[in-house]
Amino acid sequence: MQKRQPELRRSVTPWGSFSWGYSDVGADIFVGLGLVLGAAAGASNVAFLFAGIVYVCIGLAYTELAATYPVAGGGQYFVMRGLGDLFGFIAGWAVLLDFTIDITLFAWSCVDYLSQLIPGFLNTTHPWTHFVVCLMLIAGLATLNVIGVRESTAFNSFVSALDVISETLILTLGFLFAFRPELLIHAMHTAWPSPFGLMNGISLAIISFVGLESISQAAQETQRPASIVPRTSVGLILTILIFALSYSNLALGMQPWHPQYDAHGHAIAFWQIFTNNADNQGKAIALLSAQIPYYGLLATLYVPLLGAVLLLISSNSGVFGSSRIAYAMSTEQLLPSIFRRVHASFRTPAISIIAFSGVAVLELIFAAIPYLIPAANVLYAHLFRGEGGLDFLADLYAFGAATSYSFVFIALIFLRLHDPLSPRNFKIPFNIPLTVRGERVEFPIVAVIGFLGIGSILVFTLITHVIGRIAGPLWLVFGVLIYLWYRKQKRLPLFHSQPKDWKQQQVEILRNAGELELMDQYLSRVRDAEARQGRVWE
Amino acid sequence: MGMMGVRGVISWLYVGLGLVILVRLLAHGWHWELLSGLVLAILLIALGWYRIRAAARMRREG
Repeated sequence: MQKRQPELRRSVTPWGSFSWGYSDVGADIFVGLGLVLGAAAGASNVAFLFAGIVYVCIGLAYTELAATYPVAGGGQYFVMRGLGDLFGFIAGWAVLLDFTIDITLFAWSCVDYLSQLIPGFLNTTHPWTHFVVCLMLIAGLATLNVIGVRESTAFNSFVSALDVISETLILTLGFLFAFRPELLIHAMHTAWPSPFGLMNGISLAIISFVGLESISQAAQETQRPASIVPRTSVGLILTILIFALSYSNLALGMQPWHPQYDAHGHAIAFWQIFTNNADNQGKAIALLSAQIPYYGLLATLYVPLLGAVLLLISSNSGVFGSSRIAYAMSTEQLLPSIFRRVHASFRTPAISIIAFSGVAVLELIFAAIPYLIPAANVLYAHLFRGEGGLDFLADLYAFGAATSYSFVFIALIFLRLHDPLSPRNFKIPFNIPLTVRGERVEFPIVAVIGFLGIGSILVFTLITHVIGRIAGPLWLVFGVLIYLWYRKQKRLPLFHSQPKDWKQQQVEILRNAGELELMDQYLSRVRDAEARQGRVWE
Repeated sequence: MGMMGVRGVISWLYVGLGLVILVRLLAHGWHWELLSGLVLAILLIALGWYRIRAAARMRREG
């Protein structure tokens, strides 16, 4: 008999659930905006619109799945339940890649935002300082997580509230006093990118919407998640989408408060300060807010700091999330048991935390090498088309997200067809009613559209990002080898799944979530279905 | 002003901002380049209005 795992306390309020997701996904635009403006130029808003439509589909899919199966494993759990152990492992391993990138990317960008206040942190002029500060941040967060200190939900909520207010203010004042529609039209006419640039921009825009795993993590710790999660998730999805679309349109159509010049002293449009300028790309929101007339004086002082705090929280969620998902995968016997070993004194999965923070440090070293050792630039230019720094991290981030989201869409379709009895308090709209094996099911059209969208983004990522094309698949192959070796050692099926009693598990999930009405509804549906087939379910 | 008040102000700001963007873009006539801006304006109005209605419903239901 399996030993019962201790449950997480369900104490997260609706606002706590929103801010949990917001502090994770909301920080992405602080990194994504500059990168997309640098890659897609005059089509940046179109890149965000395309990625945003796909993101809405992903968000709705996660909302439905998290409300139906409120467990912290997120994408990995949904895919394992829908498609089996091997695909569950691949999806979880891709999410793990994203969590490790999360740690490095946001620590890197946090230092970039701080460099607006402390010029000594600028990466291009002080690469070693930048590197050491990033390293210290990652080591500090890993240490805090090992000894079990997590940022409190109250602090998360406070920073999220402050950021929502601040971003609303930036956008309101920006659109009122600095936005010129004719500049937007001009930028889109004169600076429309090549197809390669547009694909590159779209694949980078998706990183502004990564972190939806937090919806399922919050679901595990929310009381009555089937009712609360859909309410907070829809608000979260729309808020993030609005911010991404607003910033990209504002940046392209912005009349800056102070004229901008290029290196040769020629006047340029605001968005052009991001072209081939990695320093500016890393702190786009701080630079944009500083160009709003008068308000820019205040924004110059506090936006870099607020951005840095939000990014640091997001980096921490990478440390926490990677160890938690590795723990969950190890519990499901997808990863070796060492990843669920808990520290004797601190009661935290210390080995997982140290292992995946170590991977994050390796990624930091790879990203920083071209800046730290100028001679390596030749090698990077030859092998990776000169991609380093934020580009390197963003490539892998986009690859991991696109891979895991693709599997989640397939899992959603599969679960709709094969698990029609689980009560769905929230369903993605636009479904085709069908009858499968005597049960009425609803085929989700939006999931197909979302799958095609995220599939095309995955293809764009592979076409336009050399590192994503090489290191991403290598990461997956490396993971599958570990999986196969471990399963062979344990004499577990390699390509098939271990038998699991999903019905019993679903009852326990709903009971633990406090969704007793849904649990009764599920039990009665299962008994009816079994009775129709002449069986009795105990 | 409590948290509900701040959220109320933000919701009205969304509606107002959406209307401002909509009017400013439409004042330039139809250009396909303004499409994502128009989507943004409609989303702002929709989200703001959704939140205002949700808050009103919660107040009614106590």
